[in-house]
Amino acid sequence: MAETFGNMGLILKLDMTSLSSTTEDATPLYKKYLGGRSLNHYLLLRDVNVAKVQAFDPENELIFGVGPLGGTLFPSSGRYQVTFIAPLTTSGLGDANSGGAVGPAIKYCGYDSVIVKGKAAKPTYIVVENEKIEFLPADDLWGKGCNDTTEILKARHGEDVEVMLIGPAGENLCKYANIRTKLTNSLGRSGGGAVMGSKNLKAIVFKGSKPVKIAEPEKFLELCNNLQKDIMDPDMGPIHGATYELMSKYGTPGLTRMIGQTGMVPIKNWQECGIWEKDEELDGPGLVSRWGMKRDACQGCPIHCHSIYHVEGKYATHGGGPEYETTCAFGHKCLVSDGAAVLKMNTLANDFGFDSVELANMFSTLMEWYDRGIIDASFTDGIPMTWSNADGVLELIPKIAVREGCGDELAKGPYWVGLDLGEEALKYVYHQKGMVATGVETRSTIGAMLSFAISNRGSHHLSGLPTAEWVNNPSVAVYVAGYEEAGDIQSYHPEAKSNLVRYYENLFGLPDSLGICKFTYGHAGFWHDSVENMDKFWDYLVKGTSYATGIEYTKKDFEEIAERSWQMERALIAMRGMRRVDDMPNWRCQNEECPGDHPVGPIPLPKIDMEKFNKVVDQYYKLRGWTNDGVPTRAKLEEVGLADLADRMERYL
Amino acid sequence: MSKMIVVDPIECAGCRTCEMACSLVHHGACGPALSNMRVVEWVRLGITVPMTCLQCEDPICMEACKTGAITRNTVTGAMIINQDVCVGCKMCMLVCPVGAPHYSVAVSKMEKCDLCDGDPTCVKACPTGAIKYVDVEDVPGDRRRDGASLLISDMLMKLKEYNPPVQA
Repeated sequence: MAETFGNMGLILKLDMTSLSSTTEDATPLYKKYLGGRSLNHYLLLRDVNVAKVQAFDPENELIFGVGPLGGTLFPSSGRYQVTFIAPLTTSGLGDANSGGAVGPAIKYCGYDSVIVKGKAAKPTYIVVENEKIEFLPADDLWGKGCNDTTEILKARHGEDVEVMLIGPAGENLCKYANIRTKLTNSLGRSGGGAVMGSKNLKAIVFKGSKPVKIAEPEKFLELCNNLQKDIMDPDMGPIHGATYELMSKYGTPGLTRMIGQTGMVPIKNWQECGIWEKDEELDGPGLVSRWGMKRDACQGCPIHCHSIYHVEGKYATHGGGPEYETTCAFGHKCLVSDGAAVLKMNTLANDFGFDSVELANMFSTLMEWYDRGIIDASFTDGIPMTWSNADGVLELIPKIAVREGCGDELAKGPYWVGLDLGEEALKYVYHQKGMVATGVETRSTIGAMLSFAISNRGSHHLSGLPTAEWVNNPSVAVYVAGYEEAGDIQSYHPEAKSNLVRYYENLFGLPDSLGICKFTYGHAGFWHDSVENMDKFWDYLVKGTSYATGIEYTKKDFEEIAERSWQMERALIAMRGMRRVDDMPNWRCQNEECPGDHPVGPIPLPKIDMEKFNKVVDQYYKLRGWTNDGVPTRAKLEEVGLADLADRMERYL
Repeated sequence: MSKMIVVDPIECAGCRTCEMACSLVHHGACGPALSNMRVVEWVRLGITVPMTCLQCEDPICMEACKTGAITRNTVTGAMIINQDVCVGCKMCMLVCPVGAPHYSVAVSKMEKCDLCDGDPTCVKACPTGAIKYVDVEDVPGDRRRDGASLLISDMLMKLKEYNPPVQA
């Protein structure tokens, strides 16, 4: 293996069935697949029969990938990505990204990626200490919460370890269990925790002493210093400056009012939207001024968007976060306005190892079903699921984690419970591909609607929520999409909206493949004040990666890697049967308008105009080189260097 | 010795940018194991404290070093390990009360903070200002005020509106 810079050179493969490990040379893969998410796609498609394998089959793999900038001085480089076949989504694409310090810790052990396959006979955890791999019994840890387990493993294996683990939700195969690390970070959505549980794997402990070598240290140092200054510089522009100000002081809950401007904040399980009269109880300042202790950051990040909170009284609790996604989902969607109760829910979700978005949406959906008489209190073991019933939610969370009583059914998630209850119930599940949306009212912004509907993993903002649309800066809209209409929130301009969404889908794939945070690099408002800032941002990404790795990358290389990565993801879900019908907006978006209070955009938000929307989808498919049914064509796959994949895909169409 | 590194655990967000910058400047590579500044963490509490060498006036690391590898830089006041002389016996690490000297696998020698010739990289890199390089004479004054504030914290709370924070 050649000496590597930025990257570590090896992929670690852990087999839970035989309790053994091997390694693979990763160096030939960097130029074509970069690392992280993109490399994960390649490995999953290569190693797993993705058309047939089900989430809890031992053949399923959990692939953790970091990327060449992870664990370096590059700002916001504490992230890593997991890819797998998912239990939650109908598309089967399991994909999640997390901050914290586990991504860097994987690299300090000498690996770019870690693959876990097979199934252990009994509860097990793994200690990776550079080249030394130990599979140890986890019987005494099974059933324990994430916080206790982390403390025990740190006490057992030393000061300098990072721990990635599941809680009881994952052990008990709750479909929306996540993979946790520390107080504040999760590989959150689509059920990776349950896949880890199905392999009888409680935790992986990383104890590494290797550094990430940098090819051009002096240039890299200078670039990182300048980049950090720019991220924190209010003179970069009003949008950039406001984003840093809000994120660094209050984290994502600080953005609540900003998001609500266009009606994008969902309220009462998507029956209302926009500005809520209780916003101040749950937005960043409201939480931080009453319960915030200090700021908390992922590794290498100058933004420190997490808060450490401490609550005394009825909802006494101590924890980290929360995200807007959690405050919006437990708060706005369930009409719980008591911030202390929402923080307690956040702590419980984290300690049990739940994706807090899907968990909270389970409750908001139950509340609407209860309100409409689709279920009564007997469905939830005698607890009436009335709006704002915080105590009811807190009582049910532990039952779901251990699948006791109604918890056994609720552990399937809102879409699957709705499916069991019938067509009427399913109408009120605000999902795409079986995964309920994050805190975005998609009727507010047509680009967002397109992105959420066609997203390969299900309904969420991280696949390509187009920043240029909601910040509404015409020059940047033209820069990214070629049309000013891209920045018009209610426009159905087919070319503008297709170009826009494709741009952000590809852009968001890059941070995930480099080991850095997409909030700093594309998703939040940073860099979006001007075309000059956008150019500067691209320059930082491309040069930073080249200085770190010593591999010459260009912006064009990055665009090609991102496009290839997206095509692989789409081929995967096409092989699992996903077609155009699965890319259509959910029932509520197609059939109901949404009342609300917000300064920008129409009130009520109109339902999605399906005739116009279908024209946007037609154009989007054309732009991606897919058939009219949303399936990648052979010609397109060959064009992006995936001829092998075209062969395999055709066998399963 | 006129300046020292002072850390503020309340301001520290635990991002470890200090570790990345320190290791990059000293080794051209990024990794906590190569850093002379280390962030200690209480995971469940979410508390982090950056820790490094305090550059003692009467350093027991120097006393313990039998090869004479540890000497003081008279300009910056930093205790420096001369790696040409160090034999990697690890005595300095064993006696240091704050865990500052550490064994570097990369060079099979001991390493510790050298104050970067009087312009510490960690201080420049810290995005929250939790790591400062200040005149030793100024430290007790600040600490006096911190300590006194604790004694009258109830009173300060009551008089909060008459005592708004002042931007320097």
